[in-house]
Amino acid sequence: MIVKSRQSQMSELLTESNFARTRRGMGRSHAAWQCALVAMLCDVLVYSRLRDRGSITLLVSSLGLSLVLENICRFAFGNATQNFAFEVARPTRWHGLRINQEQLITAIVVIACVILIQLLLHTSPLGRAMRAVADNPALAAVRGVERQTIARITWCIAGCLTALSGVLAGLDRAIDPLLGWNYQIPIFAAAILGGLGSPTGAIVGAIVIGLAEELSSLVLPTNYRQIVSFTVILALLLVRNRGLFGGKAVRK
Amino acid sequence: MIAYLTTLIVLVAISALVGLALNVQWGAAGLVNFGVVGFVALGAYTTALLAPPLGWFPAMIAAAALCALISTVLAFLSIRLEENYLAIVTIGFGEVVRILLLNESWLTGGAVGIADIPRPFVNLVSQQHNDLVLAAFALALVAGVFTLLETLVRSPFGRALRAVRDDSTVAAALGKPVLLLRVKAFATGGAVMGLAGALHAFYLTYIDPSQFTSIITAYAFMAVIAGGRGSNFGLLFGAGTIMALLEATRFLKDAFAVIDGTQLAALRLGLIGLGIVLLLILRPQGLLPEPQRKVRDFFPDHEGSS
Repeated sequence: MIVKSRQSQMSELLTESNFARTRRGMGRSHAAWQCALVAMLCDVLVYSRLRDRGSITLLVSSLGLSLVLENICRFAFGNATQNFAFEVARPTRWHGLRINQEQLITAIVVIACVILIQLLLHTSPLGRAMRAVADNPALAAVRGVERQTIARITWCIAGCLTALSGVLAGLDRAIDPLLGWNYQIPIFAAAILGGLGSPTGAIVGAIVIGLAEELSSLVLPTNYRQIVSFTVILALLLVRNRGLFGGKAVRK
Repeated sequence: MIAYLTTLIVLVAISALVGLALNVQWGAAGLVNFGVVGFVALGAYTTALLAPPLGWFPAMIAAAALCALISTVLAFLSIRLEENYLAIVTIGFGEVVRILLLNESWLTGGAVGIADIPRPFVNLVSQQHNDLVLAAFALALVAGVFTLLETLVRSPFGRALRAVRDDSTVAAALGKPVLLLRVKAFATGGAVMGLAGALHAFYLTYIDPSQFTSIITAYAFMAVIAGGRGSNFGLLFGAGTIMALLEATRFLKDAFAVIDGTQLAALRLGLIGLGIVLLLILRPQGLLPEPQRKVRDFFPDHEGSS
């Protein structure tokens, strides 16, 4: 259950970085800084040139970019599924609940990350600058906040987080080049549910989506999990399009 | 060689149809659709299921009608949202279609798929000319759809659509029914995607869910971007170029012996992605851009600048 909230990282990242869908596949046992580098490279080479052309252009270009990244992975490592070399650990029992070692690690890492990101966004000057740019770039520029630099740093952090989420997802299941696709819809669902631009909302959204997906297997066949998150998106967009925790309105 | 050429013609025809459809939705009306593959799959499966009992023509029409209907529903649900959210909803729709096709095996055969889909005009000619007839049919279909859509784009409806795309507030202020125009455009595109799916089913005579991956969506976007948004001529050119590129890279394997099959496939897909990004940066208006009509074109004596 708690494991699911790692998605919040990714969704937060998605809201922060114009829905850029850098492939989580890159996370395979690479160090986080490598992914940060790749993310920054993407920004320098592609996104910074397209930033003023509207979000759909960015979305389409991110589609292209994700194809490129995914296939670099495939080119280098092949199609086959891989695993981290682990010793199989016995799950801990706690009041009849079975908790895997990996789940514990994931939960701890995610909670640490959430706290760090919250602190970064709300107490540091960098976080303030990031929020200012997200709110109103022109006003931020007038006050001397450099949009370019802030965007680059945001991309670096986002890259680190995606790398981390890739590694954690790899712990949970096996790694293959299509790893990222499975998470796409739940991530969007979580971000919308929580309300875009609100990290706390994204986390709560992720937990709710994760719970809904897991609990739905009581009534629905497990194959239909992703349909649950899609339904949640649709219902939410129709009924409460600001998300649970405010954020920006999405109606035209 | 003839067999290869007919194959190529049919493949280009399918991607041209998908591209034309996306060009109505995204190019002319400005509605982004990342669930293209879902509509194509739906069209293909409808055709495959209905062609044996009903014959190929009613099946094809039914495929187009069903896709149009579902696009209408999807459009009403989400079209008033900001375009990012339409993108998310359509991505979700594509996924849902894939999951349903894979799991509802009583209807779709699940991962095994459906075999023995009858082709059009199969009784008229002998067995070896079968592919040729299908290629001719594909060309005729593309020509028909192209003429229809080109007429549509030049009609008052097309003008209103472009007005909505460029500035929906102004269009609404001039009394244009913005929501209705958008829904109509989305449904038209959906219907054409259904036709593309039908052609896909006729060509392969066997379909399964693994044929409908998001790469179809990527090709369609690449074709529209390469040709120029809103330009149907450009779209045909774009679709042709992409297929030519894809087929040409197939022979890279002979040139570089070090690359194995998986790597080659990865390379080709990666190149498509690279193409999308490069075109967006370097030539956003496309290779054959949509003609911009100015006031002067209609009123040569008009003094004021448009």
